[in-house]
Amino acid sequence: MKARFHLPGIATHFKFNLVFATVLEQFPQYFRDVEIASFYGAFPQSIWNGGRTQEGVCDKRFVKTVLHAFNERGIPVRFTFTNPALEKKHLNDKFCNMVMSLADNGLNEAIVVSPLLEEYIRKNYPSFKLTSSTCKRLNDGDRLAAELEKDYHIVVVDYDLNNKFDILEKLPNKDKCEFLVNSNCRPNCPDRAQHYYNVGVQQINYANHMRKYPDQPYDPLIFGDGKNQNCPFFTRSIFDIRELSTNIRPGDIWEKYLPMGFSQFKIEGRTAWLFNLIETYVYYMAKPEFADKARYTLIDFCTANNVITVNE
Amino acid sequence: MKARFHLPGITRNFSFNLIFAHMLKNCPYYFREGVEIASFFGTFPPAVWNGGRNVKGRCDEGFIKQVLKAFNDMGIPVRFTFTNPCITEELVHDEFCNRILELAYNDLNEVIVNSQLLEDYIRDKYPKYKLTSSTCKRLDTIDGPISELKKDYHIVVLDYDLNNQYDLLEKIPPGDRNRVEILCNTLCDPKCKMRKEHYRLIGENSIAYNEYVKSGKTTPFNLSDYYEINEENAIHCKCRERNSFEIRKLPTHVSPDDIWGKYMPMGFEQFKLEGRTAGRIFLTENYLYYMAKPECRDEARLMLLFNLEKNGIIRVDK
Repeated sequence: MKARFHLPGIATHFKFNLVFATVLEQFPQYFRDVEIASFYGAFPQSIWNGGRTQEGVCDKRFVKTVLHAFNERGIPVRFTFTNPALEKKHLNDKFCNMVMSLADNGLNEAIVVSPLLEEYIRKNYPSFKLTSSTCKRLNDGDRLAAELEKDYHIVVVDYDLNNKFDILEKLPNKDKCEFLVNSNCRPNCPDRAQHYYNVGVQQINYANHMRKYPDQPYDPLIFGDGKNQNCPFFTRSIFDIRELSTNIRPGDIWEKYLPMGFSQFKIEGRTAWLFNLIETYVYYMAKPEFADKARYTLIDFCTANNVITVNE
Repeated sequence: MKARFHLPGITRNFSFNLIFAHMLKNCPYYFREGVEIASFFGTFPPAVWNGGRNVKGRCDEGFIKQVLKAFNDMGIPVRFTFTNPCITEELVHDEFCNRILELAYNDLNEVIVNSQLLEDYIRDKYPKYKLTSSTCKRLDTIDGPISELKKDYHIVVLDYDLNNQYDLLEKIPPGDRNRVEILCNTLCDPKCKMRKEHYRLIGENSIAYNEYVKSGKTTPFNLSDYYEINEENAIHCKCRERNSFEIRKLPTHVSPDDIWGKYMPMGFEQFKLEGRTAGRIFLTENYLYYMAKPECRDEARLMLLFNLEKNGIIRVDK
C-alpha cells in the first residue's frame, strides 16, 4: 500500500524539495512505500494565499521554473489559495491569475476555502483539481462526510478528527481524505478559524503594501495584524509535537490508516526551519532502519546544492 | 564507569567542538552514562611537529590563546598531535612549536608523541606535560602496548588492528587498562601495509609545508612540487572517501554498544574519535552515534544543528 504525501513549500522550500524528490528517486531503498502526491504552497505575494503568511516577491520566470521543475517529474503543484478573507475585488488579482494561467495544464491543483474564489476558479480554470481546505474547520464527522460527497478531488480532514477511528471508519470516499499528520497546533484550539482569518487579512495587507511600496519593508505593527505571532506553538519541533493527541505517527499510517483505505497525508512546514523539516520527512517517509542514512544523504545533497552551506 | 572521549580538532573544528562541549554540559540527558570529554586533540598550523593528518593554514598567538582558554576554562585538556615521525635535531628547536608548548604549559594540557627525539626533548624542557604514546607507532602485536604501558606514559593509544581482539586485549594488565585509548572509528583498511609509510609521508609533508610558510612565498602551496612525498602519488589511498556508515562495517570498527557492553566492563575507559579533517556533518553524525543515547540521538542531532546554525557554522539558504 502506497502512502501519498503532500509536501510543503514551492517557493520557500523549492530547492530543498527538489533535492528531496531527487533523493527519493535515487535511493528508493531508504524509503517506505511512498510517493509525492504534490508540493503545495504559494508564490509570494499571492493575495489568495492562506494558512501561513507568505512574504517575499517573485517574478514570472521563477514561477515558470518551479512549475517546470516539479511538473516534469510528474509531481503536481498545489496552490494554497485558502485565504478566507477574500472579497470579490480580489478575484481578478493580476498576479494570482498569471500563476493560475501558467499552471493550467491538468496536472496542477488548488486548495480552496472561500466559496467566492472556488466558484471563480471552477469557472475560469476548470481543469484545476480542487482540494477542500483544512482551514474550513469541519471538525465533526457529519460535516466532513457531507464535504466528501461534493465535487472535490481531495478533502483535508480537520486535525481534531485525527486518530478518532470510530468517526473515521464511517466516512465515505476514504481515498479522497487527506490527513494533516504533524500539526504544531494545540488540539481543539478555539482560535483556529480566527487565526486563519487573521493570516488572510495579513496576506492581503502584505500584498497590497508590496504593490504600492515595493521598496519599503512590510511592518505588521503598522497594520496591527501581527497578533498571530503571539501563538507560542509555531516553534514546536517535531519532537515536541509527538505527544499531541492529534499527531499521526508513521507506524499508524501503515498499520491503521492505509489498511482502512486512507492514502493521502499532508506534512505541514511551509515556514518551518529546514532541519526540522528534514527530520520530519525522514521520520515519516524513511524506513526506520535507514533513517540515519536517508538523513545523511539528504543533508549531503543539500550541501552539494547549496541549500545548506557548511562553514568548513 | 566512565567513557572518556578524545575528540578531534582544535583549529578548523574549534567552534564546532566548543558548541558540542557546551551542549554536553547543558543537555546531559541526551547522552550516555559516563560520557566525558577527555581532550580535544589536534594542532595549530603550521606546526612542523604535527603528524597524522596534513593540517594547513596559519594561526597567530591570539588565536592559540583563545582556543586554549576556551577549552581549559571548561576543564578540558588540549592535546597536541605532535606525532611527526620525521623530526630532526634541528626541528626540535622550532620556534613556533616551542611557543605553542609554552603558551599551553599548565597542569592540564597534553602532547601525543611518536618521535623519540621529540619525546626526549619535551620531557626535558616541558616536564609537566602528560604524554600519550601515539597510534602512529604501529605497535600491532599485543606485546607492543603492554611494553609501552610499562613506560611513563599518561595514555597509550592502541593500534587499530588490535581493536575487538578480546583474547589479546585480555592480556593487558587490568590495572593498566584505564590508560589504554581505543581509536574507535578509523577510516583505514584493516591491516594496512602502508600505514606507517603514510604517516611518514604526512610528516615529510608537514615539514615541506612549514618550510613553505617560512619562505614567505605568496604563491599557493602546491603538493605537486613535492612529488616524492605526495601521498596521493605514493599510496593511492581511497579510504578517506568512506562515510560514517561505511566505516561501521570494518572489523576494526568499535561500536558504541561494544564500548558500553564490552570495553568498559573490561576496564577500558578512553576512546578516541578521529575526524580532524572531516566535515561538520560527518562529525555531527559520529559524535552523536557514539555519545548520545540511541533513543535521544535524533533530538540531540536537531539541537546540535540548531546550535551550529545559530553560531554560523551552518547556514541555511532561505
